[in-house]
Amino acid sequence: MSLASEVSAIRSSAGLSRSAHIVIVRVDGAGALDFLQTASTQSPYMREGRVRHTLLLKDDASLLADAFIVNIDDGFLVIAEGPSEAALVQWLEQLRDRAGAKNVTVRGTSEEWTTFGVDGPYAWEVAAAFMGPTTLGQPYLTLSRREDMMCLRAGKTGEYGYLLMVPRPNEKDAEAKLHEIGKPLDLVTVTREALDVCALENWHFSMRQLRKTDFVKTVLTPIELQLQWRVVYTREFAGVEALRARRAEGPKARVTCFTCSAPIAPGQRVRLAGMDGDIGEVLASCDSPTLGQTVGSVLLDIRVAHPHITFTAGEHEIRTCTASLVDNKSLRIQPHKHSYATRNEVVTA
Amino acid sequence: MNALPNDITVYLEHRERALAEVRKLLASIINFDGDPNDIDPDAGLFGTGLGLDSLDAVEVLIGLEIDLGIKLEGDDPMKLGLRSVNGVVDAVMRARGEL
Repeated sequence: MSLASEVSAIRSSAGLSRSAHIVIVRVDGAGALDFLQTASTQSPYMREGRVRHTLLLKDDASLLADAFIVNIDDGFLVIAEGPSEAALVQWLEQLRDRAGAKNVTVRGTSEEWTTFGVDGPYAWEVAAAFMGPTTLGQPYLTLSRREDMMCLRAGKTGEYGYLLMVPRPNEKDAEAKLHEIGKPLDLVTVTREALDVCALENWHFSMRQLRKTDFVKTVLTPIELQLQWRVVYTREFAGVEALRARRAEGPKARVTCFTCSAPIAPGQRVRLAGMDGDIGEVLASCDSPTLGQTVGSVLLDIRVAHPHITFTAGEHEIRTCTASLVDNKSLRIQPHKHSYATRNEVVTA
Repeated sequence: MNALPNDITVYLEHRERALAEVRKLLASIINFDGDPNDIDPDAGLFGTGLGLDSLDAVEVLIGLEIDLGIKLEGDDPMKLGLRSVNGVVDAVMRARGEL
């Protein structure tokens, strides 16, 4: 199946993915909450079953992980994209030892759990048939459980999104059941690449959009990446000192969404007509099947890091724009009213 | 440092002014006790991002009318393109004939 077909499935029905790029680490012990306070840019203090979308930063305030923290069974799950499981466990253990939190345990769960992602305007029909009808009303950023399975409602495609966590021994049965459930919904197996395209189309951050750049001579922090909504500056956490220093000196650059009628490769420098020298660099880009053009993120000099400005990028022009560009079907579909079987009745314009 | 072209400079002045006004409005709606300048221009308004709910959405529309003197036709923030901070800035600039 082509990448465009996979993206189309995520935008119109549902896509099933194996979430091997997501690692889940369990943090337990009497001091687990206090310890995670020092690891996460947002407080993990919340009710059982609630989920916080947060960041884990290195000491220089660059990103280690894009993470969800879940309060569960008097402990926490850290569900992260970015580092490998071993690297995340090692980072958390080092932080724990630095904090002197001796009664906190950190362990990877890849041998216990396998994860599937279901994304799309009708992903909730798949999730509900798999987990049970209460999933239909499951709020965004919560975790539900049924027997030995868990379901996190989140998603980074602009459509309904669920992460299903299944005990490793049940992996094959679960996958077969998901395909069986999904057959009348035209469920399609999708790759990580398709999820990345959807994330970029909808201006959702992905760790895989990050690349080394020398356009700015420093690391990229949540300030340049427009992720400050996940940061509470008054808290103490790994990387906060460097982040506060960056904030005090003021950002020099900021990522901005752009479109282009031609393919533009990451790393391409951009210029503004009438000015000498480069004024930005493309960080990530993709051919958007949904929009029929190239969509991407460009790191721009802070003075011009705004939408509706045209730049030159090599032989082509790129134009910055206000995200998100996709008119997501999920915004008009309500689980208690609609179904894939009656999809043609949903107004999409 | 290179000076920006004049037409861009004028646009950016309008944009920065509208962005500051929208940040102030949103900060009051979400009871944001930090610096409004920390509100990212491309942060989403609903769900992920600032986490506004449907009641907050109504407050945004009322705030635009009362604080900024801008009345938008319609009451559905999604249909009005108000999905992000910059979406609100666009609406303000359009109403002022600056976009």
